[in-house]
Amino acid sequence: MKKGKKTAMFRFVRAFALQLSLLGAFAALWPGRVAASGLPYETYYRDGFGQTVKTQAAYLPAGLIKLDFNGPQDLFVDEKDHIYVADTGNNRIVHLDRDGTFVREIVVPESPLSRPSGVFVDGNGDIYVADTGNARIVRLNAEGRLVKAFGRPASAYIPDSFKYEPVRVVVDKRGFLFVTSLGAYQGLVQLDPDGGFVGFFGPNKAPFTLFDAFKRLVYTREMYAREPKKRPPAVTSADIDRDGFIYTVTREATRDQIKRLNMAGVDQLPGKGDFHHLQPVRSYGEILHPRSDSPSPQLVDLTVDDDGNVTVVDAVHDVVSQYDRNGNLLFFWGTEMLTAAAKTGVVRAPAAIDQNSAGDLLILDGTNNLIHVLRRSEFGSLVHRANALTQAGRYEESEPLWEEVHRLNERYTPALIGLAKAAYKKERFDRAQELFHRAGVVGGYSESFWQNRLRWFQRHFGLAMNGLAGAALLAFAIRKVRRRRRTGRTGAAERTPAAIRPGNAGSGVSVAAQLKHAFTVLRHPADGFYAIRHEGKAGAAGSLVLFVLAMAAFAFIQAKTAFVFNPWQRLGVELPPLLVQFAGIWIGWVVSNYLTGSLFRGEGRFRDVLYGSAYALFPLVLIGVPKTVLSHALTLNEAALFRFLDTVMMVWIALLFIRLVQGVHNYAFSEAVAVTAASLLALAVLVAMLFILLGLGLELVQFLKSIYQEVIVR
Amino acid sequence: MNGRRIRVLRFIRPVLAALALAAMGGLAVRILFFPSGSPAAGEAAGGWSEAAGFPRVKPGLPEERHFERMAENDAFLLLADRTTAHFRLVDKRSGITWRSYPDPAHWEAEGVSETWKRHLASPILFDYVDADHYKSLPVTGSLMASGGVLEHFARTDRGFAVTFSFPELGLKIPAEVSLYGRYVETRIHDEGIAEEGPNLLLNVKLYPLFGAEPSLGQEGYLFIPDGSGALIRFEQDRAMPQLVYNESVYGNDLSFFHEQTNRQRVLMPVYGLKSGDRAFVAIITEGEAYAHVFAAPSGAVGRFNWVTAEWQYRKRFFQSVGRHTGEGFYAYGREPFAASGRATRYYPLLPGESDYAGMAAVYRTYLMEELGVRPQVPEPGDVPLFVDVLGADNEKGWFGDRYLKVTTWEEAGRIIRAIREAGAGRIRVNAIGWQQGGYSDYGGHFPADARLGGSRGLKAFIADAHALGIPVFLGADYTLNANGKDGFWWRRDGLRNPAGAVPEKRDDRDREPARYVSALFYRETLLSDLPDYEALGADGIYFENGIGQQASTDYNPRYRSTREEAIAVQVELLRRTKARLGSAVGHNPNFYAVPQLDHVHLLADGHSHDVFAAEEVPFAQIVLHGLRTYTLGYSNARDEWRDGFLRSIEYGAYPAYLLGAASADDLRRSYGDWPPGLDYRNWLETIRREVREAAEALGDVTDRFITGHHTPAPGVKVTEYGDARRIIVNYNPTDVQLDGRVIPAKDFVVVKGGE
Repeated sequence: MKKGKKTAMFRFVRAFALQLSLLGAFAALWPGRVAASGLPYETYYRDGFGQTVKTQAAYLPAGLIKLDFNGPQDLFVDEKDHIYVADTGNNRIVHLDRDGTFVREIVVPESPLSRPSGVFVDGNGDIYVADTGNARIVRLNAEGRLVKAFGRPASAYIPDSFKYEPVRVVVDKRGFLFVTSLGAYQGLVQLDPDGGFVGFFGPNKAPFTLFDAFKRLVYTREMYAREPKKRPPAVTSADIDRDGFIYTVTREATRDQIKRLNMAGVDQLPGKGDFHHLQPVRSYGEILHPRSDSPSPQLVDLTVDDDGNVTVVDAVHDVVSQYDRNGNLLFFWGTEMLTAAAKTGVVRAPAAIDQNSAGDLLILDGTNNLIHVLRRSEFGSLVHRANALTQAGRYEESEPLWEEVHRLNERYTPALIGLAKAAYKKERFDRAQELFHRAGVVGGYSESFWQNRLRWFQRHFGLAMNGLAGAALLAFAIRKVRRRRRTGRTGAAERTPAAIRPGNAGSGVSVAAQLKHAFTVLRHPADGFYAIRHEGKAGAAGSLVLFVLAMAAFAFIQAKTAFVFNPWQRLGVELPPLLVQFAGIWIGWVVSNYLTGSLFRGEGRFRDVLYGSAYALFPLVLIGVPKTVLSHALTLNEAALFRFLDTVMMVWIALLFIRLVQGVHNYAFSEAVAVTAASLLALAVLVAMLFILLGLGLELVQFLKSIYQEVIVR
Repeated sequence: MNGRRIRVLRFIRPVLAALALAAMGGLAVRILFFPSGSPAAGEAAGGWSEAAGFPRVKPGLPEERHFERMAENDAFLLLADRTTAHFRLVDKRSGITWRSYPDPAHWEAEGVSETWKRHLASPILFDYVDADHYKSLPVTGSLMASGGVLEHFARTDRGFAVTFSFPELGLKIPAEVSLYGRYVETRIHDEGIAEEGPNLLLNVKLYPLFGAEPSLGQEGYLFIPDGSGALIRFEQDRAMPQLVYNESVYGNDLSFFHEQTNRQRVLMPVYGLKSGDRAFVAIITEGEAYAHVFAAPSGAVGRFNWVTAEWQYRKRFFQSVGRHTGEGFYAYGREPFAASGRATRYYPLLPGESDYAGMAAVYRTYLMEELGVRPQVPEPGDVPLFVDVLGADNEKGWFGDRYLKVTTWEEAGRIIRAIREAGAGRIRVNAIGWQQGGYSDYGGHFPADARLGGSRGLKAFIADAHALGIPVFLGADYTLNANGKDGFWWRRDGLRNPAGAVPEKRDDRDREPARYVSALFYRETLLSDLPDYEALGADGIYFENGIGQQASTDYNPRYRSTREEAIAVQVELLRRTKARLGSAVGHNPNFYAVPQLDHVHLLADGHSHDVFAAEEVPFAQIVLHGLRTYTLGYSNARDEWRDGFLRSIEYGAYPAYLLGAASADDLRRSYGDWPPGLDYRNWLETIRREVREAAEALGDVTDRFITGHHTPAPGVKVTEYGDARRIIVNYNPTDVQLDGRVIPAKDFVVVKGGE
């Protein structure tokens, strides 16, 4: 398709930030085709592969609560669904009932509040206020009278430079306080019910990248001292669930923003999600259309329900994301349209979030002094019910619910995962394996496959054992025969070389011999490559065959490695671009190695490097193909074996390439390593130059074409 | 001799230099001191008001005793004041007086600035801009704040005519107020508008504060045509009070700038106000394509709630100066929008019908009597079920777009048979995605794609459907083109804005954008395609998205057209489609298309969730019921199954489904936005239930008008069809008692006439 090719080339060039914009484009607003109800936001789900699908709304706008707040910073919903708002600018706590009607305001006359930024109400009705302006936590009884004030804790473990600015507080069942202090990178301040310092709780990890390591190595002490301190980001807010787990959320972190901490302060979330094989490092807080230059989400608050579902709000993108107790994403919603019109349900710059017993979310808008109420939709309730059962291990009960979810939304992957787990529990391992594969869950697929494999072995045990025994006998017999034949032959005379074939480059060695030379190269690489240069043991035909075999093996590895070891293959493998890249890099290597070699006084001719590079790829065929075939019979339990084969293959190929340089150019080993490195560098430069030229060339063609078109139109 | 010549030469250079300097100085003086052109203009302006001899209008509300009788009929009496051009309308039936200015009783408490007090008290409010300086900002002017005078105040046989003149600005705007049978009409005469001087009119609000009332705790609301209709209730303590509603009738004009508000399109040129027992509804009857509906709840602009039509004369467009950098500036066109006329009618309502249902009845009567809309609805019986069958869509492939086959025509035949067996008596099918290349391959519809069965397969499917008594409509969008078929070359035939740019629609960042097609071009394309539709046996065309939804001013030199002309083209195409094929179906269409359409598909069913809009009302549905069949969104795309179903019962809408033979999972990466549940096999049971329940509620009233709609209790809605039937819907999760009846939770009750 002519148009198709044009689009492909455009995509090719786009990677180099050459915006080809035609006559001032004016993108039009696209009216939502299906959503005639005009919700101001769209709800999505994203799976482990990053595939985003739209779903029905999980929460629907259910109204606004408006009162005379002044820059409120926190809100809390107690067990009776009464709402407490930390009305920071007015130095008070406002108490509303479940409909948002004003009940009372709490100022503590005996010891007035100053800029309270956090509020928490425990099971007895006692109100804890993070009285930021007075650097203390106050505990009030249900009537609002002061019971105790917790000032800055005194302890030898707290550095003098520590600034105590409590902004949030949560209290557990025993009465221990976990105070979020502004900018405290040490974590939450844990106090006992009397105000004594227990310790710092749940700190984040300091981010340390490779670049930082490089700087540490290379910079002088003075320069490094001037670098910004590598401190962990401070916890922004915390919540506690009914089991006593503390959930923290951190605004400035870029990974593991949400933590679920047990009593010991250990994060329970890593490694628990269904997609943890695809996403070893989790980043919470979804963005609607992630681009390379999108700012990271800034999660400012979270709320946890009785099932452990965590809902977080992102202040930068105004997106609300919801995860279940194991960190699996359930929904996220938001809108990209920055409108001049304010909408119910779209909170700009959210300050806090909480939920009531009916499952309604309440999001505090600190700038407009509003609380947006979102109620859970039918679909949202259905998913929550089904997922609660699945996470609790009650898989069979969850099955009919997940069936209904799947009927309503055929793209919603958690439904497939729920059904797969139910099938696994019911021991329908075939169905489980198929569903896990569809959902893209490696762990579950591997487990189901293990079960299926076990069953297969159990069924075919007899046949398998007979086959093995037969193969062993056969191998033994062949070896016996071969040994007899070898001793029978007298004088290991060399075979006469095959007839010279017309068109055979080099010294007239047959194709078969050339191919056999590949094995020689494997066994004695340096000699083998030397033979290619000086004894003409390789030829065009043989190298071509080997290269084609290697490409085919590469394609086979890319496309056919089992799902367990290459989950991304489930999205579909685009072979042509991969093969083109493979061939391109290979040819580039050959060219740059020849050029570099000739610079460094190597003896190799171009065709020697060419042939040799084809031979060096042989382990791809020898190990790669069997490894790929084997991968279909392995599970994650045997991953070590697979990785081992993989490593052997890659290392062998690397070594062969170095031996190639050594043998063909006749270097010592150390020289060969240096020249290989130089060749790779040359290759990089070559590739960059090629891309630039291509891009500029296309741009020029576009330019000429548009001039032509403009002239024609005028 | 030589010596003398040399001496002359020596003088020439300095003389020339002096002349040049003088010229530059003169130019500089002119530019600096007479920026608005020749010094003569200033004189003329100053002399204008003197020559005219009219006194400036004094700021403030008119005094009641100065009003003279202008016109009268059996129901109304029109009075006007010569000094301010305000009028009063007395409804003789109810005794209610309507004022074109704020109620004097509440005027004292008005707390806005002095300038705005003058604006609000004026009969005319407008925005203008100084066109000579491209960076100048729009300025708001009004009769009393901009030194306006009333020229030529004259009685007419139906009322009065006056010219609002602004000597200092160089603007004149002639207007007329006339009393007709049941309404008063305010009109602007574009042909008499004068813009002498640098100032250009941007928009005009005529009698904006007609019927305005403050929020004093009374029951009242502003009705705005947001989506299906929305109410902005009178509230005293409003959240974010500064917000206003300002939206273009019939949607935005793509050739001009519009603010991103993420609101539903305005389908109907109607608005209204209710305060206690008083209510009026206004219909913009002429030039509505160039009008915005502007609503200011109390606290936004003064303490009064007011709603009016804002007539647009010029809009900004983006003039790009750098293609790669995207830089540019906003400019106004020189020529104003040429409307065929600009008129608004105000219909005061009687106290018994003073709600939005009463307003809808007035608009419905207007459609029937003045626009000739005849009822075209099925007889009572089964409710029609609308099934949209998706043929194919596209997704991004390696070297171009990949074709995603969803339903072949053979499978489509199986789908309709299965649905018929599920108990749907009356089915109507819209086939979409049948065109060459798939649904998202804009442009070039024929021949029908062979991968689904081609023209033969489609024809056979249509014949099968006809055998079952099911009409089939083919969906098409002629306003976009991405592949250059139909002889379309976007540089030659694309819709252009005043800067010469062609608007585009992007499905995906990596995909070639689709361009908007000029109206006169797609007119030819559609007319030449009509015989092909006929050959397939289609019963009509389902006009998706473009025609009926979107009309823009076109500056393409080959296909120049104004917005009104583009609308006329669309109306003509609908009419000719109907004449040739028998039927035309619209997709959430603007109401200019309703007279030609047989069915309104996917009508808006909600509002835009603005912070100020408290409630959505089924205004559009009340207008249409009994005139046309309509559906709301697809049932299988509902956010909430049960609530969405109850809403369609409440709104009198028939069920609609979008189905296919493949799973929605296969369409995960498609360009189009499809319901998450698409496979028809999963929905047969649901269809059976929904059709049965809908028939129970709506089957007997397919040909009746909705005469009333109200909310007797929180979460409970009542829809009345004259005396024949009342449908009570309960959205609460608990049962509700109403008039001795129990309405079960999340359910509805049908009360037949006489009970």
